[in-house]
Amino acid sequence: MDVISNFFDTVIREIGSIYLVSRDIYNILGTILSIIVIHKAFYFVIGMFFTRKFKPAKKKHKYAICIAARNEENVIGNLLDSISKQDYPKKMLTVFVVADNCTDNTADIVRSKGAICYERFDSEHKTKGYALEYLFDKIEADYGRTSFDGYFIFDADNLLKSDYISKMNDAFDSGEKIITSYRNTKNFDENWIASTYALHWIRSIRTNHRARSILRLATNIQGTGFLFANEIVRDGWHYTSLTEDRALTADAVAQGYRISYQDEAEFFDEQPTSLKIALRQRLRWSKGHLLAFAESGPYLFINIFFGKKFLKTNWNKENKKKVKKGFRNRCLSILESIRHRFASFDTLVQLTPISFINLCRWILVSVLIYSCYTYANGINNLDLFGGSTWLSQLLRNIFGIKINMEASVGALFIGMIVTIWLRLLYRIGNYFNNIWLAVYLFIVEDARIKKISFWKKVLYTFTWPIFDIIGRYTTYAALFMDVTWKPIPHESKVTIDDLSKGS
Amino acid sequence: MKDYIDQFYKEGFATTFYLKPVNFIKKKINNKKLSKLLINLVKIIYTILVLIFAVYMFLEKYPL
Repeated sequence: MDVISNFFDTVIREIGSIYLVSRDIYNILGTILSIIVIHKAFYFVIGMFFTRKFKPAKKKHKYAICIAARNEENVIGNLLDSISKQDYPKKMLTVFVVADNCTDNTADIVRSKGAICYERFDSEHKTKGYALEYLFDKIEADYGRTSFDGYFIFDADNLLKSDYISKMNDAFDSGEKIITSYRNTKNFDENWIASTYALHWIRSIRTNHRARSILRLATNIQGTGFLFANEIVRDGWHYTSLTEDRALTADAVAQGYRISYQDEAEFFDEQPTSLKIALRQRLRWSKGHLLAFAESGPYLFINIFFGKKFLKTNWNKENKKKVKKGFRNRCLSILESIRHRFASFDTLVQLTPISFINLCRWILVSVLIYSCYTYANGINNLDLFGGSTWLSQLLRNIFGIKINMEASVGALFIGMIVTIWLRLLYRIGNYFNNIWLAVYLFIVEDARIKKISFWKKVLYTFTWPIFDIIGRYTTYAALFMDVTWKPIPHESKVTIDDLSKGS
Repeated sequence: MKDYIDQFYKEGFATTFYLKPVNFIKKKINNKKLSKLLINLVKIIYTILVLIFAVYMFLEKYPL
């Protein structure tokens, strides 16, 4: 018995002896992680005030609108109506819908509204990506993919403002190849879950899209409400993973494409209102995010150092631009190279599961090694309300409780419990810090957010940080879970006319 | 550049903290000189406060 206890005593003391070194490594890693995301703080400030504006287009381009729908009879009609009300020439728009494994009247409704409908039945390949792959193959067979200048992608639950296509055409005509747009919410005030999603999309716009578009970088496509040039699908659509948008973004950035954002083009979509559906969707996003990191991360990492030398896909094989001679052209070429490398870095950072890295270093250093350290050295003057958040500082100033304990097995367990408590306190503090972001969003987006009562705004301000908490834990869960694609039900009967009257 | 300056004084924060006070001054004060002085004052205060807020949010969001 003594041999065993001596063995554990030695092992715990040995692990504890590396605590001071490992704490330094922990802090250095924390600083590196902070530095690699510091550009996001610049994005935040730029997005507070500025967005990129596009001049009115000189040419009306010919577009195809692609919609993947599964049992969407409740909402597809309203989307098609909002498309028919666009102030863009009808002959320049063709609407394609793929009725994917539908068992309801989606296909009939689509045809009755004058759109082209392809029906697909495949119980094995279920993602939206497979439906789009099928749709683009059908378009190639019947029309030719290059017969359209660009392609819009929408979900069946979307509604478009009447000038949506015109505004997107302005951006397309300026030479942009991939453009995303302002994502507003149909059912902002339906319940707190819908409102957290709605605020999340607005946060993405303010903290990512606006700044990246101004800086001519590449923002991320978010599933729906985007337009791309025909060259991107010249060889078909190949993004069939759980999150086809992430994969497309990573591929575009790797090849040097910019992804712009048109603030004036606004569409609405329906957000989940049930926690079960929200968790399912977030789990799929997290899994897709991790898959995109695993698939495209290495290419993006190589791009940062070597430019466009190693590409997984190449959409624009024919038009290889040769660098023209002359000082100005060489400078422009260098600038383009820097832009491309930075966009690759930016996208890689976005795909990197930083929360998981943080969790690993916390468990290893703060929980395991630190508790071994307290076993050997005891706990000396540890603040019960330690940490850098406003909440911990406030509690520290009021209570100022310190923990002291002699070296013992008890110190090991208390050390572990206090570490977990401090993490919890840090998260609660962060929760309150995040509340201010909702206040900021409600002020700056007042004109576009659906008119709701003051008290609902207060409620949603307090519930909004839950969105990020769910995201953190679904990322951890997604690492170990097998996630499959399941449709998100849409039931909102809201039309674009209702939303226009409401605002 | 002019576009961005316009955005600074016409959109986002400006709608609540600059345009609303300016419209209020325009409506309520008939004296042109006083009105102009107050509008300029609002503009200066708005610019300074918003820039301080931006710096604060920058440091708050990603402290090293």
